Amino acid sequence: MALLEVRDLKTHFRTDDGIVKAVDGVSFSIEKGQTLGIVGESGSGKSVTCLTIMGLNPKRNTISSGEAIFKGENLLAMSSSRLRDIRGNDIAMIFQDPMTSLNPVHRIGAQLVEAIQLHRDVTKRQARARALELLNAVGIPRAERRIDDYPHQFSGGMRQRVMIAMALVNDPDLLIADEPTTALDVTTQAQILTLMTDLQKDFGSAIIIITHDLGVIAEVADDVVVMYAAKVAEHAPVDNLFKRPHHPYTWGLLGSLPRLDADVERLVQIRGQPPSLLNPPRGCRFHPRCPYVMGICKTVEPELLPAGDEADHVQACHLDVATKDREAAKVLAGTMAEAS
Amino acid sequence: MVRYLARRVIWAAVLFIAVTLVAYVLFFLIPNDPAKLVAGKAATDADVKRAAHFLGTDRPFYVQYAKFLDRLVIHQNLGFSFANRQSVNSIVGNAAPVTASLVFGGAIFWMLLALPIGILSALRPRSLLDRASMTFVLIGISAHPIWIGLIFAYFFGFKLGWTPITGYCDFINPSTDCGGPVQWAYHLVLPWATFAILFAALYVRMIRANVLDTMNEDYVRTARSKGAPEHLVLRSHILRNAMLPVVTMLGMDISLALGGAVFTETVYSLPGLGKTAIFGLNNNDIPTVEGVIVFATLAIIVFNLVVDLLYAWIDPRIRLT
Amino acid sequence: MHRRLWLTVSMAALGALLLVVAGFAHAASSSQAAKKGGTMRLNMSDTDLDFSDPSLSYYVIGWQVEYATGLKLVNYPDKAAPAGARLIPEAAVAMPIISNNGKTYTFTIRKGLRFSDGSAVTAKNFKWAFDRSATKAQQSPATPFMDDVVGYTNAVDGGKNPANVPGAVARGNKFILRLTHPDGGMLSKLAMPFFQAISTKTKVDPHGVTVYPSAGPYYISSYIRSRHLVLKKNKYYHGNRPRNIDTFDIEINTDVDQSLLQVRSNQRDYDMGGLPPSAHADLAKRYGVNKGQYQVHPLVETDYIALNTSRPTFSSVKLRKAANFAIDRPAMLRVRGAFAGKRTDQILPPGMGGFKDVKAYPLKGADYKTAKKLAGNSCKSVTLYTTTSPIGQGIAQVFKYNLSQMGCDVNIKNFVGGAIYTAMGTKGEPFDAGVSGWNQDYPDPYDFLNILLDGNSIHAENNNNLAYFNNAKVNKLLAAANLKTGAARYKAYGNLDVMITKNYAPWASYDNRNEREFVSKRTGGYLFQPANASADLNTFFLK
Repeated sequence: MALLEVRDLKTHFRTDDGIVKAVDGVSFSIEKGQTLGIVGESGSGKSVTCLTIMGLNPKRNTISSGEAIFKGENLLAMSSSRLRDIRGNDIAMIFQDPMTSLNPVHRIGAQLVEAIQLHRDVTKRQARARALELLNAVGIPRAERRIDDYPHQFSGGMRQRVMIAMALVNDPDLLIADEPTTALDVTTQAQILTLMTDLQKDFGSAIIIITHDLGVIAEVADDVVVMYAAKVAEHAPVDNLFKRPHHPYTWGLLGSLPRLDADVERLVQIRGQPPSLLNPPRGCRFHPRCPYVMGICKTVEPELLPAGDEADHVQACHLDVATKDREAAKVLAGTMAEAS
Repeated sequence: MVRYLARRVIWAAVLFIAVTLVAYVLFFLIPNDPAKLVAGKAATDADVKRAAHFLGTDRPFYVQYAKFLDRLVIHQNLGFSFANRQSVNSIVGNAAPVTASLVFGGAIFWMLLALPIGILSALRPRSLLDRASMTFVLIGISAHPIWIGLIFAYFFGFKLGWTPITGYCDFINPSTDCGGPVQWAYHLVLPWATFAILFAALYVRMIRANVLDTMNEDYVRTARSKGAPEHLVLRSHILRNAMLPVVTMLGMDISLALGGAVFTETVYSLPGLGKTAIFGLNNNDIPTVEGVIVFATLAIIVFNLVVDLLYAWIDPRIRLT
Repeated sequence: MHRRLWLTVSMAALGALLLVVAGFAHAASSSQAAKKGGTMRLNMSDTDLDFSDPSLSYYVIGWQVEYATGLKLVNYPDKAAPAGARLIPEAAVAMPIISNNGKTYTFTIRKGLRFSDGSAVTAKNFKWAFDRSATKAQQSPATPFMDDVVGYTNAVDGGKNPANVPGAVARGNKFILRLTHPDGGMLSKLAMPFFQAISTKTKVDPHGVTVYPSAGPYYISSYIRSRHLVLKKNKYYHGNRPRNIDTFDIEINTDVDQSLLQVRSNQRDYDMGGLPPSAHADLAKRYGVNKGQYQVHPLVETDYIALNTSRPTFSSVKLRKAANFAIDRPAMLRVRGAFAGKRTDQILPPGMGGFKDVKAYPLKGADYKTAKKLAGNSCKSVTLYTTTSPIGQGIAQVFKYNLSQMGCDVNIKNFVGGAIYTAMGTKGEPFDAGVSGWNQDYPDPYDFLNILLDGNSIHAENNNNLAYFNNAKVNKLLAAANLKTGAARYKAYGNLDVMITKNYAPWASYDNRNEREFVSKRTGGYLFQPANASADLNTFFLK
């Protein structure tokens, strides 16, 4: 049985302008100790997906449906107190911006201790020892002296280490990392990713890592979900995706892999803007931006189906397999050529 | 820290000179002669001149101002009132505790009103309570304290008899026939309420906005993701941060409120600084008015300093440099 | 508020004093026997005593208090008009023996009088009142009144501390006052609180003493400025003035509106500071006029528009008369609210000695026909000075409209508070007309006619002759009238009032104001003391 199985997850927000379908039928699963990457542009619904699983969307004006079965229990249907028991204990989360994700008025030690004491019946002293252990584990230098510092006294990278320490402090089965490196500089990004993979080995947690950066995915993920406009565009094991991407949107993302020799500009290769989720395009949601658009794309929504022979590689595109392989090869060749 | 304090002191001195000098100049622009007041209505020219010499108003204003500064800085003496020849030090000294009672008590009062209403309406936006609080805010911001004071005194004091209509009792060492903490508070209930309404209204809005803002902060989501129950999230994460700007505002507004105290003191016959200043103005009594200005300026300077230090203490991100 | 006389609120501290010779006041309608004892709780709204020091106090409320605390050589009895406005001996056994062609006054001091600290009152205490007020360091506003006393002004200028006024002599139980020339108003001046018996323990103090022994029925037992004043019975007082209440507990600088609510609900008994201007109609309706709680009594006061005779427009007597025909006196009085006073067209108020009622100008409304006939086309522009107070504005608007009907173009210039008197009191100030008013300082027509209309007294600044009226014939007649005493004096002044009003019209007078007061239900013994123009504290009692 999968550690977490998400089935047909939908999250709709009621706004003054109408209903925003932020997540519209997403399914995936993750096994113990595995790493799942969710990739997509801003607003594609990847963060909302995870917040929905965690029950962290604002209650008012949010309608969620579908299932998120975690160790046999549906997270979406459980009581809020049961969910609180799971949050921070079985499932922990780290967020995109370490500068704002730590409470500025509490010492970091206190914030870690709080996380422990919420789930463990331990004394403050024991909790503090555990906190210190984790701070050391995430590589905070002289942690015993810095434990009583405030967040603003740490650099961004150090703060993200603190966040990771806080997430791991209760030894969770699943760690959801929402763009954990986006706000960090490139060197620090690498360190944090290495740290996460190292810790995954030590702690044995499964990780869902959300990013818009395929480079990150390539480094850490076992399995990849590509999201576009609240839906899954492509879902494949990581090697498969990079070797044989099937969806034009994924090609676009691949084209946007940051390269050390050029200015880092993301998604320049995909023209246009992501669609409004208030009123998404009919048919394939990517069709207004797709260079391979056909008549059918504008009217019929493609289903998520295996492309070719690989059953674990699904995608939602009307193009035939041959065209896909040809175009994918071009994209990959171009990327390689530029990269080399 | 030392540099910070030094800079504050220099700035305070500049402010102080500017404020007192402006007050002096304004007085000399008004064609009024305090000597005539002192000499009396039947006075002849010679009587008025003698009175002017007695008061020192026969000197040019810059000499008077220099003397005022000299007295104040060297002897910590604000001089004597033109109108009743009392020591301005003692006039201000008697009035200050009354205004302090009003302003600080009023501040506590308005926070007691604004905190629960502001927080509750932030937690339940667009609810009945939120809308009711909006109405309260509208009234509080629109209505003049004198009007509110008259209405309160008429209904609660005169019609219902729940409170005294007006008057003041000392907290300690009663100088009138009533005194002590109980009488003091009893006589100040209506003034506090009147004084607090405007600010309570503003603070309801501000607290509501701050809490709503803070609720969307990333660290609040972090707290929830840790599994913290709502009451803990609210107390330890939302309020603690949402109150930071409120503290700063409170510091500034208490200074500002000294000005608003004039109305409340007038309508409830509180012998505080505001009433003293009005009395001084009506009687062309420069020393008394300057005395109130000097004291109020110093109080505001000191108070702002205290608020800054307090703020640095409660918000670890602030460093005083 | 209306207690602050002289037209404006902020002139209050200038000390418009109210000593009234006679009034049409009714005696307090109380047939109940006065009960003794108890504490009466008073307010003093929007004001404070200027001083409690007897040598400094120069404000109507201060004198109301000192009427209860002071012991004077001669004083007004605690009675309604007319008796209450006639001087009788108080500390003196009888009225003084006046000798040396009216230049020497000899008083014999009663035996057995004592201050509130138990010490005896002697002639020395009256001598000390003179010396103390003449001490330059004391800076007393009493000095202008005594320049007729031998050596008084020299003593002030000499600057000795304390001063010794040679014209004021204490010899045994006699107090002798020597004047440089006769002064018909001297006895009235001696009834001012400045010249009450002052304990020799009360030293010269430029800042004014607050609590001191006094020899009247009451004494000031505690006084905290702007806060609280307590009067207590002087247990050493054995005179025959009434005194019922044991203690007056007076809350100072209260709010006039809230204070009225307190008196209505019997939490306080009386507001020495007055009533809200808007309250009168309602009070009269609820409590009736002079039926007990709400009291209306005429002051010896005249409100007028000064017509500046030193400027082109109103140098013309025809135009001044025309203005007197044009103004709508009922409309002006209405500006002051219900029961505010009585219309007048004369200079002397009805309560003043010598007053003779004549019909000079229309009292029932404007007579534009006559005004136009007198003015012809000669009236051009008129600059009117007034105050920013609601009343000052109201009067100015009525005046502007009235004068426009006789062809004048009135420009209004506004002043805040007492600044108007500083401006109008300066010779050459470019105003043609000014909203003004005058209360007597002491009950003598001199205080109206000579002070306000004697052309010889015009100087550069601080003028009281706001019409800058300077007529040689009138000046001579005014001087002559002041030399007369008794009935002849009143007759001379009464005739002068009529003559100046009819022939020269330097003022457009429009009303004589009333004093309006309100006491609590439990308060008995209200007496409008005409000389003080206020309630007599001595006669108050609790029902």
